[in-house]
Amino acid sequence: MLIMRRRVGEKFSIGPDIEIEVLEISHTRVRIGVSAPPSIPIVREEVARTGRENQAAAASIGTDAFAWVCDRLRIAGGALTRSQTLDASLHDKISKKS
Amino acid sequence: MASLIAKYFGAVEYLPEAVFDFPDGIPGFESHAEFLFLEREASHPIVFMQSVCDPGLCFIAVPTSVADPAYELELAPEHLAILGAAEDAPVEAGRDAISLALVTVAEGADPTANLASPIVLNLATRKGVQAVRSDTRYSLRHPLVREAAQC
Repeated sequence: MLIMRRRVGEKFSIGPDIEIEVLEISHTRVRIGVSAPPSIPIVREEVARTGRENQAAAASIGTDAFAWVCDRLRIAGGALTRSQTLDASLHDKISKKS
Repeated sequence: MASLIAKYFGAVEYLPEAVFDFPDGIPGFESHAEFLFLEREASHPIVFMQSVCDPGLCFIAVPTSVADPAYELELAPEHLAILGAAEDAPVEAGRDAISLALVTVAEGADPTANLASPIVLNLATRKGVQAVRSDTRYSLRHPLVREAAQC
């Protein structure tokens, strides 16, 4: 990993098109400005990680896996509590088509 | 009534007000801006997060309080803005808002819940957001099933 020291207002470049500037430093945080072409996605690392986890979640649950999850959750019944549920008004708005 | 073919339910009819609007989609699925949240008694406490535009996309979720009874929701100003809540009158989980954790099943492993990025719904405004936390307090893969041997 390349490590460098920069002060507020100083910049560095990644390739010809990407420029990164240190805008502000406080005790626990640093504000960073990124200039890059629109085609380059810039997201916080935790958002990128969430995206990968969402993809995994969507791919992991087929109809079979779903039944299996239901079973597993029921086994853990003792640990589960019903302290939250969707509001009742929602149920009036959705019905199973017969 | 509108209707769609939901992945685990078959044909479902719903009023437009039942739809939750995710203005930015969710990470990895940015183009999915509308979701229906479905429940059924047999699979309680699972909540199904069904994409309106893609019948084949349905996440399964559990309330964050089910995955971790002591879960503390924290929303950044940008999340509150999407939910349509004022910063000085924050939404209160359980009353105005519901928070859910998406469930992932890895092959051969116990299901896990994503407590690091809860799905938060504002029941009043019908807006939703995946409120990605920037702290490291909760896991992306929080185990949902405790060891039976502990009983």
